[in-house]
Amino acid sequence: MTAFRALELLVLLAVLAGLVALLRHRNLFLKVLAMDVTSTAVISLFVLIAARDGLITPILQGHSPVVDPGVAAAYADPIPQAVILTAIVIGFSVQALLLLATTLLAHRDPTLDVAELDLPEPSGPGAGP
Amino acid sequence: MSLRPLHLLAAVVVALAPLLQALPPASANGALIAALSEQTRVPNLVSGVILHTRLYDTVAEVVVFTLASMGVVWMLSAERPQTSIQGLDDPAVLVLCRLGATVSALVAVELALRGHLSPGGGFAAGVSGGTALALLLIVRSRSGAAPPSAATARSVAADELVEKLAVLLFILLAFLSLEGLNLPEGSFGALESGGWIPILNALMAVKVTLGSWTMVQLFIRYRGLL
Repeated sequence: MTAFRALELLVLLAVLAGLVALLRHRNLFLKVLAMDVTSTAVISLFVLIAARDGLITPILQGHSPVVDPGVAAAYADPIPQAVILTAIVIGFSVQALLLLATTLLAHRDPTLDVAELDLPEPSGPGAGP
Repeated sequence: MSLRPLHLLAAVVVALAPLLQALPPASANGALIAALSEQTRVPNLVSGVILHTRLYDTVAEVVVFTLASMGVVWMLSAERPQTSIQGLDDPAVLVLCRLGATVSALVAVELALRGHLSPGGGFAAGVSGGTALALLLIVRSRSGAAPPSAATARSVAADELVEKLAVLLFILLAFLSLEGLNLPEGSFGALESGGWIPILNALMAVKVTLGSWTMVQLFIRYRGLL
């Protein structure tokens, strides 16, 4: 097993940990946090793939934009790194909104139990707060 | 409702499936690096890709972030803020918070201004600046009684105005750049080189700083520190 495969296995285990936590927990708040674990693991998968072709940070040294293609082969791929930045920012935004929605929901049902939240609300006169 | 074996199996299959795939042969990306550095003309190729090659995508990303911070303000607008906030009062923690705020404010300026030359960029700078402002907020909320809500509402409104101006200016400059209007090149590796990239970086830093500060400030005001 190469080093890349070993690291990939570790990253995928982190994805699995997030997924299992997402399925296992009944609390909505913990489910949101488990989704964050999964997304962080996917981000590290992208970083790992970017570093597969070369390990040097893709920041050029020196005072000329011209690079010798032989030297440039040792740089990491900048495209996956730039692509995953979008996912980081969107993930942050979604996380903030989801946590806020969960907090507001906690006013109505402090346990935040998914099974209970799924139950239909009792309707009719005199029902509910 | 405990974890069913079938669910667990599905999670394992989905998560570990990539291990079974054969890897494509590692390609040498020398030609890619050379082409990108010719095209963007900044040393930090990731900044170049974000703010030049994939600029259109970044505009949408900035818009999504703005929508998120507007959404936080909107969702909290119906709530009643906390009347008093339980603050920190340990002197050592307060000194460390102030020190951390100073350091991350300096780091934010460095990352924003030199993001096209060294590791950094607008988003990283914005997160650093937002951290600085949040730490200051924690130090200031020590006094117990919350600041009058009119003052907070005013500061949030002013803050949102600046944030939206930064976003609009970013979109305007991005479309100028997409239309092919460019600033003079400058010499490679200088602070004022790379066309619009340094300006876009600085605007993005302002925007993300204020956006994350708005969110943290409202969270603390409405929910307290803990």
